[in-house]
Amino acid sequence: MSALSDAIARRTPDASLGTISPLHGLRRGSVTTLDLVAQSVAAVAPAGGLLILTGGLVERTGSFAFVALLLTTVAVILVALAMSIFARRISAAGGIYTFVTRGLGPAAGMVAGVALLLGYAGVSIDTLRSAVRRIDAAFGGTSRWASDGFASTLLVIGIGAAVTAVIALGARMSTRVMLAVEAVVVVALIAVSVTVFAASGWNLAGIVPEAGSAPSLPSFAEGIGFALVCFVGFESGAALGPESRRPLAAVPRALVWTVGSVAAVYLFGVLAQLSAVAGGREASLLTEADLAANPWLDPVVHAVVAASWIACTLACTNALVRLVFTMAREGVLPRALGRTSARFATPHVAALAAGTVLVIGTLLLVSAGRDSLYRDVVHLAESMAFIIAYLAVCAAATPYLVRIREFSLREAWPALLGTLALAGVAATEMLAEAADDATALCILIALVAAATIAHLLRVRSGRGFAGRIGAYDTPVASDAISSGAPARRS
Amino acid sequence: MSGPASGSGIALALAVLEEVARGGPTLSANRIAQLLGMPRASAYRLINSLTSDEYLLRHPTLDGFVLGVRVVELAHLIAPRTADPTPEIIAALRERTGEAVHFVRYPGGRVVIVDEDPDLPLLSIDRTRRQLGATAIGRLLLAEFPPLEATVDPVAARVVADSARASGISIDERLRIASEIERLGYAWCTEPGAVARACIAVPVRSPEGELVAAVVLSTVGAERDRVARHLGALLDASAELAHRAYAVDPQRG
Repeated sequence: MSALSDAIARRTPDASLGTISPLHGLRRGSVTTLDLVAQSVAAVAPAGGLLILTGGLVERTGSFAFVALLLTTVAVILVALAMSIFARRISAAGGIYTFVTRGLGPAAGMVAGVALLLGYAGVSIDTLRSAVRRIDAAFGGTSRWASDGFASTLLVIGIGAAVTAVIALGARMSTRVMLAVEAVVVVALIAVSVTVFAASGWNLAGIVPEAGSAPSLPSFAEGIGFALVCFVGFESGAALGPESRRPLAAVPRALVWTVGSVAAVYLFGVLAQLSAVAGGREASLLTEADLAANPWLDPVVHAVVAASWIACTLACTNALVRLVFTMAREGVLPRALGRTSARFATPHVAALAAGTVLVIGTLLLVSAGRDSLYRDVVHLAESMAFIIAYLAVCAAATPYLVRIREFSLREAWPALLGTLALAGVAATEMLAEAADDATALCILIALVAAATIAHLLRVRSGRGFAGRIGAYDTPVASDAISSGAPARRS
Repeated sequence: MSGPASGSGIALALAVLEEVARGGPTLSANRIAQLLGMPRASAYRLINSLTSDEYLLRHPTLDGFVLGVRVVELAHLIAPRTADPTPEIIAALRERTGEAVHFVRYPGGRVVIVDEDPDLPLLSIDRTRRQLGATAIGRLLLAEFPPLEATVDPVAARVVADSARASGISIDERLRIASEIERLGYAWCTEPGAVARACIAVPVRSPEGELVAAVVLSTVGAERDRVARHLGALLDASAELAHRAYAVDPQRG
């Protein structure tokens, strides 16, 4: 009898594994691949991205917009492939934070972790603020940065509470509804793009950059950084991995699908824009003239964009909650935040905490106004924090493969190339930001550095802390059958 | 390359599972690749695909893999979920009679020896298969397809007729065997000489009445009485097999 059939015949649980996973309390297998994609797509909010991206990118890089977006897409795909190296092997609610901790150790892990905490919080707060502003505008509001509106305060609290409730109750429908909203909006925007495209006679000349009007290298790099921001959040599906069916297959697939489909939408949108620019129109999908011609269009656009931003808030807060939950389970954050609801199998305490931060943070943003340092820090966190996290996960993949003795160039090359690409983007963005708004950058760096140093000091202090960090959903005894071979390390 | 490395994808996957079952959770992916003589990159890819389908699980504290409960599902795809009661029944019969007990099946008019008693093996497996007239096992099969009569399984009847012709059994001989077995309800045979034996074969029939298998008892020494006293036990075992192993899902193979 072979050892395999022997093990199958005996069918005894594997005693060398623990009886509970570090992430116990979350419901395994309750989330489908579609939910993972919905989470990722909602966090990216391609509809909002498309509206901002098309104008912004063409403005920064001119005729090189398509090339810049193509390069960005390649970089993001490299990040997705680097993440897949981890996602095929471990299923972690902490996402990139856990991956980097596993690959590069606690210090780099904490840099990525704090960056992500700031990044997700920043995007949640900013998109909630934008959603409220859009709702206000849909009902005829005109002042773009009204700070005194009582209605705005109520909306922030109301939406914040709803987002918290949805995450705490584990309402799976919510992300699907958001995916549907995103899909409808994206289809509508593509339809507009097609119209624009057709009006310019399908002029594809915009793909070819004009060498004479090349942007300066910093502004080209800035354009890539800007385009990269439109992809952030694509990695957040990984946070739902431990709750999904066959996470090691579903998460990598969801990551690549999200990046691929979002990139296709963006590329088409920018192509339509460039075609319009070549035809002498403005570099924005909906022009003032369009809106003036169709008075009903304005409130509809505002309402739809508001829905898209709320989806983004929900998705980013969801990822934030999983990250906080993971850190609390490890003991990095207070233990109470790592509790799960017995009834809903969700990290409800972490959800409540994140929801509170979201509401307070957004109210502060509303009252601080446009020219505040706080707003600058939030905005910077939305881009810089993710660039740092993406760079870290690319850099961590190869050491991780070496550590588990599974390195092969065939698998590692996207991560190696991604490290170079992201390092370039990060350096240029840092330099640009240092020249532009050094204070916000310093605050961000100080926050990350302080948290990382404090974390390292705790890890070095012993007390079993080092063994708990990098927690992911490990198999338990009942998931495995014992092979009968000795489990001792040889 | 030799061994499983030159085989198909499924054979490779099973070879990886077998290595993990044998080597336990300290076996790294790299080591599995070495043991199977596979290129490392393809071994990693195969192992990752087995891991993402949860046939293998990564051990969290040791640098290796453990078998996931899904391999049990995999096994059930090949083998029936309910265990085959035959070995148990045959073992009980050996215990009860204290004699050599064999179990054979008759797929498609051929003799397949499923469980040969290790204490007193058959004189010759080849003879049992081919010279149908010379053993109780073969005589039972001959009697199932009497010559010149209509049958529900013409292919099996052709196979039996060919075997009989090849071993020189006449039509008359076959008719005589068939009528004797029809009268008795079982086949018997004695083997005089230096290695004298007596043998009795009781049929196991499907719900449709077809011969599917036989429970066979043989004794040292050619006295017919010595085997005949176990007839009751053999008939009980045959009835139990027909009821438990063939009633719901008739197995011919």
